[in-house]
Amino acid sequence: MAFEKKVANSKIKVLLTGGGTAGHVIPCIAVYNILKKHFKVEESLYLGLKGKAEEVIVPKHGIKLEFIKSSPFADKSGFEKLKAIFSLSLGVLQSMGKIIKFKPDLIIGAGGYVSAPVIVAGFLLKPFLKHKIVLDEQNLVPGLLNKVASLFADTVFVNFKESSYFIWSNKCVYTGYPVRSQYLEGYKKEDFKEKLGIPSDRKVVLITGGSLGARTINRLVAQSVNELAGFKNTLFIHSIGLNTSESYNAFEDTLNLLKKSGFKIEEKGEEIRLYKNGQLFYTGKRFIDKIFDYQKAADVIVSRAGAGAISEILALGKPAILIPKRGLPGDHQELNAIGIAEKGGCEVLFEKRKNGNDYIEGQEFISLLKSLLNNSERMNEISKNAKSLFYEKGEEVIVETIYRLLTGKEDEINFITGVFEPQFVKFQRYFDNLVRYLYAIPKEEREANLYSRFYRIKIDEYLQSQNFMVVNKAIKLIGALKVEEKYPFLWDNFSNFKGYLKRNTLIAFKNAEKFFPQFETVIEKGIEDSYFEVRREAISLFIRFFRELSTNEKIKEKILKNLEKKFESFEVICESIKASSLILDEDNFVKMNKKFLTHKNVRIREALLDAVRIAIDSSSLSDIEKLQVFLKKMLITTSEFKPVYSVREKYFKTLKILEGKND
Amino acid sequence: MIKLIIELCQANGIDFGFFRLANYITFRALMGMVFSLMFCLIYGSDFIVFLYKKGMKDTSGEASVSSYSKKGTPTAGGLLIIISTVVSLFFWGDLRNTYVLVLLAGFLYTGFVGFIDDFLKVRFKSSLSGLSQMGKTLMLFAFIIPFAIFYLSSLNPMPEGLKTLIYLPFYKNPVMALPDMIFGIFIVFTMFSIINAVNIVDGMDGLLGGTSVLAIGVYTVFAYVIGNKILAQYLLFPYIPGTEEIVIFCSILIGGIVGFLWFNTYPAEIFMGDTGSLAIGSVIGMVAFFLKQEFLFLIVGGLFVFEIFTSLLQEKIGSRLGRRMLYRAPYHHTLTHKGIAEPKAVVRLWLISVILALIGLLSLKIR
Repeated sequence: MAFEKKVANSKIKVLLTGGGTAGHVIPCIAVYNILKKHFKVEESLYLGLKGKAEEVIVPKHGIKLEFIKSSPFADKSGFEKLKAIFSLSLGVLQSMGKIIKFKPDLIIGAGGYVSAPVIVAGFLLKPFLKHKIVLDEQNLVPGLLNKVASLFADTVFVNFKESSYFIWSNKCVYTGYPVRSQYLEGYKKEDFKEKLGIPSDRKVVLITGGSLGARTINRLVAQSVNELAGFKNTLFIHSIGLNTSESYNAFEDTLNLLKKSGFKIEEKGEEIRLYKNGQLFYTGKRFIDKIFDYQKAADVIVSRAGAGAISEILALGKPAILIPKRGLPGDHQELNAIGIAEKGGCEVLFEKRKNGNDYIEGQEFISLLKSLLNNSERMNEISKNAKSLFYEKGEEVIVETIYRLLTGKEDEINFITGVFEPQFVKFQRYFDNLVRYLYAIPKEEREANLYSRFYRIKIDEYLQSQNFMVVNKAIKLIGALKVEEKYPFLWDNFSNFKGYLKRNTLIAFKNAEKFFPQFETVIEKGIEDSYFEVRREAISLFIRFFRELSTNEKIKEKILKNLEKKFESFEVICESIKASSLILDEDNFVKMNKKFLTHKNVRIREALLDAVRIAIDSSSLSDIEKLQVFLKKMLITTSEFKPVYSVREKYFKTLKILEGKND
Repeated sequence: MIKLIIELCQANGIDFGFFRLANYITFRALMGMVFSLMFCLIYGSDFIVFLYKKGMKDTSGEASVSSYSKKGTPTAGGLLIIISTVVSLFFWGDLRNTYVLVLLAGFLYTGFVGFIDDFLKVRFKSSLSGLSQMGKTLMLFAFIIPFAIFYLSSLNPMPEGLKTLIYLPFYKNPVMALPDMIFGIFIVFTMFSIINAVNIVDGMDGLLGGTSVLAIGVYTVFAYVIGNKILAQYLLFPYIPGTEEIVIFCSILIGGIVGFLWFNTYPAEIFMGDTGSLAIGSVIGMVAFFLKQEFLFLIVGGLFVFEIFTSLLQEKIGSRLGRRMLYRAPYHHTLTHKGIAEPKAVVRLWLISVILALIGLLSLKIR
């Protein structure tokens, strides 16, 4: 015990790193503040990149800042990659020098590409300097460099349990996001409304796009301000953001848009106020200093879906509408939001893209906000779910883990075991998994399903791609989600498509809910295509919509011709046989398909049986006796079988029974 | 090892009588083969359980675990082949022979590369997360290029002048001699192709096991002929001293693979993984070069060549055109797609290999 006390009381030196965006710097400093509270931190040093967020934030907290070189690695092509490797190794050497000079007891990296070289350098020097390395990963899906860096760290703090699935090291500790202490205290909404001078019966909606501001959110608010004015007894507080870059000046842009609305505007330096019938209903501020007061006072929060913003909302247990930023590496904001929304902790609106601009549909936003504000039951439910999703013991776990690390009791650390494969991973790993899942969504749920909503928006992005395999993905999605407004695109471009795209177009049409007259021309084109899978699917589509197409003699003739062809792909012949049972009467069916009864290829004989089944189901052939006689002559010797592994079968049955008993 | 002891004893005037047999290539080859085979049979089941406990479970295929799928079968079973071969070689091989040492080094290294690949796939639970194409290529080149340098250097005991000659099957005289540099490039290209071709065939239960045994078997016969002065002269082959030890290595490997096949045939209790397929591929490639029978691989390994051809056709041309060139690639999947059950397809491909092996053996006499 004496020894432990000694370590806890002895002074430690901490080397911090991580950066690029504020999203990596703030949690790093949060961890640092936790350490300062519980340990005696003698000296600290921050290694960051020049010209990035850390240059602004770090000095404010009184931490010494030094710069190293680094470069992002993923998404780079051949030569660029070599350059990145060079710059990374330079970073490793630089940080080795700094570590040797500083001699830290603890290295904390918070992700971002700057932390990787520091952690590698720390790992290389570990045998000589005896420090410990901690990596803090905030996002659900870490970047490539963080995955690599995790192998060199003693412990990895994760914000989501699922992250342990992606991180290569198996030394993950679940800490949640290290939020500022203000968020952890209990509070009363009304007190904060009072503090801000808002009548306690007024509803408050806080809209924020982070410290820099989010163009999409700002424009959404400014453009739908007329509708917002229609909300009864509601005050909108809008944090517009500090962005003053050339391409977008948040405050000016928003102000200009608001001026067009025709409401009475009061502009006071950094603040815009809008009045309707003399009553204030909107306050836009360039920057809100004590944002947590406003967050606590709010009834609903509209926000980006960065890990930090989400954690703050969850910690406060606020109902929120999350608007994840589109097109970030690995779609991580979208995935963060889906992760929360799946457990009922928030509402999500996905950004759409038109002409290179991201936007949110105002109507969608207004109706969602309205339904949320008017339904206090739903708000309470979300609130409860959100609160339960926040991991409160984060600080405790961080302190305990670091304490154990420093005292050499690493075997006592509670590492995450067991692997959680998040559903979206399965989808990303293999696109057809996703397509299968989307196909299986019942019609009624398709509007509400998160994945269906998310990927519906993706379709537009995919369709604009130059790479035909990406367009192929879009076509699969159109088919799975049955997006009828995109069908014209498919049949208009059908002739220009490559093989896979034609095939998947036909499959998409096959799964359509109703018949469109254009299908007919598509089938006519497809049935003469040079690619066998297209011919196959064209016939298959014909079978699906036989009732509507039964008058088209041209298609029928072509299908029947396939039965005579000698060098046709067996897949096409199989489909033709099935189609023939619908086209022909008993006598002709038996006559034309007689030769297939003893065909060498099992699949063709199998198709013959399917054909009879289809015919009976659709009652196009009714002379059962004739069919019986016909099928009696069939060769049923086969070169194919499906195995049944009896142990496996019993194993899964037993497991199911056991599960049933547990319930 | 055993050869060394006997020689030591004989040098000191101790005569073992019966054990003089160990001086004969055929005796040691057959004993080695039986040894590695028995090793696999005896330790195989335990080894499968061992891999299972270590969590080396195959995750290929995207279908969910069901009573019909093979997902979860232990993989990296190539380790069993490697271990049995190394143990048996220790007893029956002559480790003073340069060819055997190089074969062993390549065998172990490529096996190691394959194991990393398998391990990554298992660790990250997806058949897509193994070594990247680039990573694998680089790691293989790290062996192939030193091999080419060794082959052309004076460390290679092959007679000077013979090294860079090109022999064709069914033709007794060399067709041409290549400059060192060009032959070096030829080695790198051929070795890489052979290793990948063998790797790609490993897609069905017992397929690679059976077909590679036949290919290696033919090379073993060639090694026996080329390493024997009288036979080589009689059959008009260039005599290459030292290659008789390749017979030992190959026959021991055959024993190991057959022993592995015991567990690997349909339905497989264990998969070879890249651990086995890369190691076997590298041995076939190296032996082809040591015997100056590089072009014989086009015949005895005809199946491998055809499979990688179909695979490349799909990958390079098909994916650009946006269509399937065959029903499925590589070719063995086409067979199952057409409705031939897996065990049947495997046996048929074995039989095709037998035919190819016989044609290969014909080239011994018809020259």
